Amino acid sequence: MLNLIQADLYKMSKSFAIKILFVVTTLCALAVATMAYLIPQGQIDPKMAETFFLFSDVNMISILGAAIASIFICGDFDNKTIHDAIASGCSRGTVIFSKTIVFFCGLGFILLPYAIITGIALSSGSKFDMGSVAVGFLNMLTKESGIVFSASVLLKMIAVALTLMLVYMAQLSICVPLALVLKKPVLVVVIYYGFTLLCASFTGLRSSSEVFDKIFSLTPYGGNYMFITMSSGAGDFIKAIAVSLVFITVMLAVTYSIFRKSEIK
Amino acid sequence: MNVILERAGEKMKDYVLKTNNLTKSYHGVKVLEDVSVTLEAGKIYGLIGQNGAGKTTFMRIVAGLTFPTEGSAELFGKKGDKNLQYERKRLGCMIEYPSLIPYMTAQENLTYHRVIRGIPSKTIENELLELVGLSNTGKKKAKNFSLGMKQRLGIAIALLGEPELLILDEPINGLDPLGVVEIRNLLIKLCEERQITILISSHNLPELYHVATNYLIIHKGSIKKSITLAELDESCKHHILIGCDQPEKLVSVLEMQLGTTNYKVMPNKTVKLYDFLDDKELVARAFADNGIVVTNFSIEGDTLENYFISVIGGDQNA
Repeated sequence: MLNLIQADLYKMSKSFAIKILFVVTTLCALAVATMAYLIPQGQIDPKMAETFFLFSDVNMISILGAAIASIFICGDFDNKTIHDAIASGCSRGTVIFSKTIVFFCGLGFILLPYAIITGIALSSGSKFDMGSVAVGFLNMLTKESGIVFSASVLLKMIAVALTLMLVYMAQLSICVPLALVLKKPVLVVVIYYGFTLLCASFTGLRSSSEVFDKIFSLTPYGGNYMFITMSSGAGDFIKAIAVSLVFITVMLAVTYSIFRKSEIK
Repeated sequence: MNVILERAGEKMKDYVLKTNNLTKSYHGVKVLEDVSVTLEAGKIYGLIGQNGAGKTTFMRIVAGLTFPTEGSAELFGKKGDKNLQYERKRLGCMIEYPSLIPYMTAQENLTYHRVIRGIPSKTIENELLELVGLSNTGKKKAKNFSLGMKQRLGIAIALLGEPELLILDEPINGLDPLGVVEIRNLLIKLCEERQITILISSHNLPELYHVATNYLIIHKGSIKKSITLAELDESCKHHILIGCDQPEKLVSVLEMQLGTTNYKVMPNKTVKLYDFLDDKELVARAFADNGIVVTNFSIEGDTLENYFISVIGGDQNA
């Protein structure tokens, strides 16, 4: 399995696409951080925050995360590298697990600009605010702006960043079965983006039905996992991590049950 | 006890692949039906069949890309899903298209596949590129390769890890005439020097005739014929097929008057004469002079193509 992961990381490092995605998320992270800086200063209309939400981590990762799954999982069917791995004696479970790990590494890589720029912005001590659209790293930027920096704050910031990344990975883990079953890049991106919009539309339902809210909070799309900040308690962190890990495990199990005996065309 | 085990082991080593009544159906349509073949070590097997005959499906089952509906396969004497998966580490495959990453160079592609196989030696990459004639491709990406270059790189990838069974589906597709000869010589060399068993499918039957030591003719999902090169040569050898009322006398004329023993008496009493193909008149006159009534006197013998057509049931199936 380590061989497969190492080989796929090598392949990813040679990919132009991952570099482009990294540049895109870096520019987007810079854009939203600038907006979050200019809005509280009154230089930009706060209504513009909704427009710039498009460049936020939560929105960009919904599109680009699914794109990574398309490029590096669906693409492996086109390149026949999945065929080669299986014909070389790798088990299908190993293939699924290693592809998922490398997919998560890719997600972590394109999320890095948001984490780093949020960290740099917070360390400046300036005021940032994106209003009601602040989710994920943008929420951390909004809620924690003006914080006094110290070693313990830095450690907690890293913990928040890693937890948010894990929640994102869990949310996107649904792309693993989608990519391995559909094998069509466009379908994976469209279905996943549509799914995230559907989940966002559940907000009203969550407030009206406690039962639905509880069930939904068992998935990384529910609860307040995307609103974790440095002020969140240890219980919030543990719950976010546990829900994410369990959801990833379920997705891997679903993928394995489908892919175990499927035709590899 | 040890002797028994050793002998059992020796027997296992006799074949690298054995299939037992392998059947594969898609939506109730059988694309492979009761395929039972045995591939011995150090031989080159030519898998011959029309498009849709089941060649690729057979190879895909062996490679683990699909599963049989019925029947089983044994690799290196091992059967069962887990064992087969493990034994596939001893395979090298290129089925349908080579497994290439388009944005990587030839060397980078080899590095990728070498790492997957856990081969630490980096020198093998240059050796294989040299072997398949791609050592001068430099920074050219695989997506810019010609079809022939892609095929060569696919073969190099299949050769990583010194496989004991090499499965090549149409490996000479897109190769120029010189490339065909180079790949042919390479396969023969691999088979002879490293005792690699090769299962190769191709539509280029004359080319396959130059490479294979054994042939498997597959038609509509069934193995119609399994034949060695020697048997094929025997079947295809050009001869005068003679039928007559007195075969004993005919043989006597051949030996005494025409001075040849290069003939064969068939079970149906016809005689295959491998000499005098360019001087049939002399033979005919000798028979007439001796009062032998000839009921058949024809030149017979086939090419692999004709033999294949005759095995699958004539031109109407070709």
